[in-house]
Amino acid sequence: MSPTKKVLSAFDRILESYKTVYIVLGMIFVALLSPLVLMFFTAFKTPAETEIWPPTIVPLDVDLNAFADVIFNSNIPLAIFNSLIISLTTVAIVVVASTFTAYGLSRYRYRGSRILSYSLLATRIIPPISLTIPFFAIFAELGLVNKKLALIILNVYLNYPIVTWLLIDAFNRFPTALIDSAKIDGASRNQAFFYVVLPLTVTAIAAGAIITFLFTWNEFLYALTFTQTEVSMPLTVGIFEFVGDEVVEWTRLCAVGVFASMPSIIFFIFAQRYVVQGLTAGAIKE
Amino acid sequence: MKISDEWYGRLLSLPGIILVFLLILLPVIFLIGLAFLRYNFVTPIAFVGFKNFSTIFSDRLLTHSLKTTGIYTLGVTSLSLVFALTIAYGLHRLGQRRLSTLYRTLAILPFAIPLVLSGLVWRWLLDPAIGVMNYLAIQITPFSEPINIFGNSTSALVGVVLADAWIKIPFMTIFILAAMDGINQQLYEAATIDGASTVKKFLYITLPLARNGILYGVLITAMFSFRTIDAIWSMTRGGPGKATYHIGIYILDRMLSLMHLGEAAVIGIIVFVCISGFAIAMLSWMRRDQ
Repeated sequence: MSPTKKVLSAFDRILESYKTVYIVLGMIFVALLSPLVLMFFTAFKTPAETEIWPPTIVPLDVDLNAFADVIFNSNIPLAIFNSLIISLTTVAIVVVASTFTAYGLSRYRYRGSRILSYSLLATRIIPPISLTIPFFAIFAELGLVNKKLALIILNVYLNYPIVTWLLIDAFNRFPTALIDSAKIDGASRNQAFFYVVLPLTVTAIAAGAIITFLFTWNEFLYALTFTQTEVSMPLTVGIFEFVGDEVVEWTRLCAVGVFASMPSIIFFIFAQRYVVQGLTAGAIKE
Repeated sequence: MKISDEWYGRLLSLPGIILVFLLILLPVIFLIGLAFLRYNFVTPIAFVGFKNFSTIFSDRLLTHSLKTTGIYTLGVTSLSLVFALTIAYGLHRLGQRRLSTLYRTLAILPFAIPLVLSGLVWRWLLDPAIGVMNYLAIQITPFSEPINIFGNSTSALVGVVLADAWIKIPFMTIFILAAMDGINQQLYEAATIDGASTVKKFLYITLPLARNGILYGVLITAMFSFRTIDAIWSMTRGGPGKATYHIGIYILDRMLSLMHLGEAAVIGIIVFVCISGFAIAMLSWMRRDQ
């Protein structure tokens, strides 16, 4: 302890203490997460229980009818299927395309490659909502409205620049010495890429896959604009089946909410670090 | 035949880039073109000059929706900034201490939920007849009657701002926390030895050094609030009346309900200009003051 240390005031001591941090954060988290907890509980209530005043928090008696209704008696299973098809196809396309693009831009600098990587990032400034109009005209002419293919194309456009940028960052940090030694051992450029670089950057690629999946699964604007029929409707639009002009069927809505947030929550708990990495890549540096 | 390294790089990267630029640039060109056309799927497509522009610029809904969007963006961004700063600073202070992984997951978990779903949940929490928020408000505030927050035009805007700010907190926290985590811990230790208080350390170490990350979070959140419709659509769809008439809803109304793609394109261009102007101004400001 340094002799010059000043005496802290009582207020400072409270702020300085880690207990305060734990308590304040804990209180904020209760406020932040309680809507989701309530949604989860409400899915297990009877419709009548959602009408009582004062509102209950924990269900008085557990009722699984909302889940049964949603699964056997609505378009939600189809919507989940559509969401899965759209999200997984988008992930596959984005991951393959971004990996090749990012590796080409990062490892083999050519005239204009820097400008190209920055202009990829700059496309993020273009607001997707402005582009709904031309996309609507183009897709109407091509007969793609109400087709899952339309949403796959649009989600590829939304995610490809972000994931490419994330992977450029990962490839830039990859030690060149490893590639050089593989080349000395007689590996070709392709072999070095597939057998040396890819296996060691697989976590960054997984991060790209996860954020693409989350963004596509949660995407609403294009889903709303380009699907007017149940056949191609993803879950974010399908959920409005239970929202009427006057009455909302809250128990069933919450049951769908549980399904809709499941994949995201699971990904988040197990791969939170990669999601954060993916979102902030390119944001903090430069 | 052996190709040079440069061409190998082009071969790997150009196909994807060209495709995506086509996917982005073609619509941008179409957007500008559409603004000069009568395009409604009923009458034949025709060139109408600046007619769409004059229709939209003389529409009272344009100024109204711009005003609503401005208030909405400002409200959502500043409210979520206050909470995100608090959460990020708390998590930053905890560092690797006990429970820090759990706390970090909890702080950004709501981000994983689809925005429309969060919007719908908030609509329910704020419901005057069955909403938990109203029950809480009656218990702990001077209000003795349930508030129908989406029933009145002033309070409806407050309602959507509150709910959307809540939704954006985790998103903003991610950016701010990443910036704070980049700060060298030894600076804090040195300041502690010199007897600096927590408030001083926050003001003179954390804030200035995390500045660009914070500004980046503000930029992204503001851009998002200016152009997304998820939360408003699920809560009020622009109502009651036109109280929460966000410019995104204006675009969708013109395009999907009225099928006036030309007029919608004019609004699309306005949004484009506003957002890119704001982003470029903010990015150059961040760069200049480094």
